[in-house]
Amino acid sequence: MNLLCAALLLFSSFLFSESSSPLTFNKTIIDQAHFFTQSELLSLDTKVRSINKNQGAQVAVVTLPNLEGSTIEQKSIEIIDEWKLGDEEHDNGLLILIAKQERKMRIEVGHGLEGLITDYQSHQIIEEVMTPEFKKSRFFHGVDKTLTIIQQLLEGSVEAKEFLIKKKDNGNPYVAALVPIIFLLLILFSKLKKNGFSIVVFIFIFIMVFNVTHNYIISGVAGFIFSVLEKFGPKGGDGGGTGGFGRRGGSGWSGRSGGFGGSSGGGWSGGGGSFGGGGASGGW
Amino acid sequence: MKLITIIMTTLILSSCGIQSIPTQLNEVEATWAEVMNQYKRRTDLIPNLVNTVKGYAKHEKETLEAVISARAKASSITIDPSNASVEQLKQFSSAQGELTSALSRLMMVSERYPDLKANKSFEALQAQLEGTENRITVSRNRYIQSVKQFNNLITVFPTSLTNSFYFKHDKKAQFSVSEAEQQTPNVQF
Repeated sequence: MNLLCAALLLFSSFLFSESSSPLTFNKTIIDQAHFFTQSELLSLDTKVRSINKNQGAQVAVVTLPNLEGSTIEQKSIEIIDEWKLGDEEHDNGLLILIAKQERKMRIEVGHGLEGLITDYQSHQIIEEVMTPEFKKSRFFHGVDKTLTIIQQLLEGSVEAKEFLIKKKDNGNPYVAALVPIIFLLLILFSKLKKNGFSIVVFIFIFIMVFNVTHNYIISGVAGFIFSVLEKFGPKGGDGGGTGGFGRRGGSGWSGRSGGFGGSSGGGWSGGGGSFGGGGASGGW
Repeated sequence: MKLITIIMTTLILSSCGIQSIPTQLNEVEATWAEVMNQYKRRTDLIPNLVNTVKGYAKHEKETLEAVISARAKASSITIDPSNASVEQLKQFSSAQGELTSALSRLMMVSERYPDLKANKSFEALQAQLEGTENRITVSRNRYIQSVKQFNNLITVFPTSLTNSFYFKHDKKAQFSVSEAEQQTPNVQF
């Protein structure tokens, strides 16, 4: 009975957490304020995808009917924290957020792009491109021109562009380092199987503890204790190991390089890029 | 059998805080560095800003001096978050808060000078200052979040056990909204 209640509670909390974020990031342009026509959406989408393909940056355009009481900066960082536009390595995400009722807009620039698109440049785009167009209710033109300028800015530094595209192919260095370690462990495992397990346990624990503490002595002692325990300890290893790794959950590997999920036209998801509040806001 | 023991030890070790406490400590340090970085960025902007405004708004000596002295005061307080007390953090925070309100007063005053507002370099400085203030807010929020997580790790079971036996970290001091920041600056025209 209790278990059932717990399960239900868990389930309902799961449902709630799911429903608390109505803005899901599955398209390049999320037009909740209905600023754009179907063909305009398509044209903007093409542009955003071209930026992603050629300049490597991941851009999203979001329009909202209103801000529900928060400031545009709060809303923007809220969205960005959830979506994590851009990839983890380059933090090359960019968000254009427009709120209809408050008549406010913001360009939020990812850490990795702050050098290419400075706060002042974002400010200029807002003042000189978006504001005049938006005042005439020409939202498509405003956003379209903005995207063009952003693309030019990203293009501007050839070195940076090459750096971004080149680096995209490199694998994760940690994974690369892990492979020989696992290999070594496997060899040790098979060689020492006859001589007794404790050495393997020792090495295993040593490496693990050393990874955390970076201290040879502590790691050695821990390894020794566990290898001894392993030898003399009870042999009936039962008892549920509650665990899960102590890392902070969430981030995952779902999309390390932000961008297309596949060529099938659909998936568009953030890749773990971080933002520090760079960019500029304005109103019309 | 032995493999199971190994796997179990791994699981137990990694869920008891041996790994998560130092990881979170690093996170706290990194987010603090970002906070300092952004405050520094603001401090560096001020001399240019003051000089630009000075050229146009000669009558605003008082406001300008308030910014300069608040800057001097704020940059004289540097604290090390690894052993900062709540008091120290409060002191730091309120000094920076005073600078925030001195600066926003200056920006409001500068609205009265059309020539100044039309100046391109002033516009650029203004945009940079706004960007920096926003970055400060973001980095402070991130620091608050990471400290909260760290304090949870070292005070909530089961990771609290690992802390009390092995790491012996103290709770980290948390930001609170200082009085200077709560006040909105008022300007008489």
